[in-house]
Amino acid sequence: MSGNWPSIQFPNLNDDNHEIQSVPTQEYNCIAWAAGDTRRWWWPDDPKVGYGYWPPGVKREVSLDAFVEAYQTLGYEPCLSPTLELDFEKVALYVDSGGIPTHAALQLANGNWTSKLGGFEDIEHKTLECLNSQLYGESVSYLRRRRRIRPLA
Amino acid sequence: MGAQALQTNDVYQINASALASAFRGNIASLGVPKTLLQTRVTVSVEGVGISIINSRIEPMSTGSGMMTTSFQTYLDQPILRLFILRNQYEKRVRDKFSELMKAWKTERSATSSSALISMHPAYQRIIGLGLPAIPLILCELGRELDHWFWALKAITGEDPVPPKSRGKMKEMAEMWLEWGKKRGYVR
Repeated sequence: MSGNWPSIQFPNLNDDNHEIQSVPTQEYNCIAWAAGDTRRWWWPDDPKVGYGYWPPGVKREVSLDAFVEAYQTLGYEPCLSPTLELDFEKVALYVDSGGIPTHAALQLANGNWTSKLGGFEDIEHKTLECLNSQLYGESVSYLRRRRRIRPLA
Repeated sequence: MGAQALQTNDVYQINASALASAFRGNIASLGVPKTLLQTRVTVSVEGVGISIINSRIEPMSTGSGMMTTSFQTYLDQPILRLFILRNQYEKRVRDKFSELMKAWKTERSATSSSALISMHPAYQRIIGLGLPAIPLILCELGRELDHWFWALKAITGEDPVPPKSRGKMKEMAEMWLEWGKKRGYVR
């Protein structure tokens, strides 16, 4: 099944490694989705012209440090790898070739990952590499927090 | 300058409601003789009709395509010409806006960056349309939730969204539509 996103942007995605889990919506993005927020669009844009939500107290800049800090406000702490640990939920941060953060994915209890593709659909994908691309780059930073029961949607 | 008549199906487009509104329903200032105003006159351009009855301009649902020669004489009145030019300009803005919006929506990537979304060339050109784009953007925002906030802020220099509502797309849309109503951009 193909989503509404331009398929050329994710050459690694195929019918066998992902499933679409929602309809497209502009209400939230990947950063919000991985943070468990489906009501806001998270992005540290310039408040003079931008409109994104960013956690209060976190530096408002598009840097890996700022994104790590944003998830730390939710109880996440940096960890070494994306390997599944049953007691922890993990977030993976992607950066592009310039080291600019582009995307966040949340690990599910089954070891798969869930991602919101910009303003398009949410998908469940088997590996982080499924979303490696020119647009998203690749995952380079991982955070974890002790798993607690919370709805994903 | 002689009378320059509007022709049915001419490139001119009269928004009859706007015309009535612009002249507050009274065309006395145009200097059209009272005798003429007592006659029903219909101007139909691109299917939009107006009736002038007893000094009042009223929009018509359908135009007959009939225009009296005597009324044509007054169509080169500066104020009416200005109105027609404004409507020509608004039509061009509407057409350009539709074209750019389509390009922006179809070429968008799966980025989460509000900055990248707003930096798309078509989106930037919509910002370049300036204030005439505001009612079109607000109309579109009312129809479908999307990332219009950057453009609205850039064009108007205003922001009705308080910091606590940042990122809440639906709430921000409602606030901008309310702002548009207060400013007369949204009916």
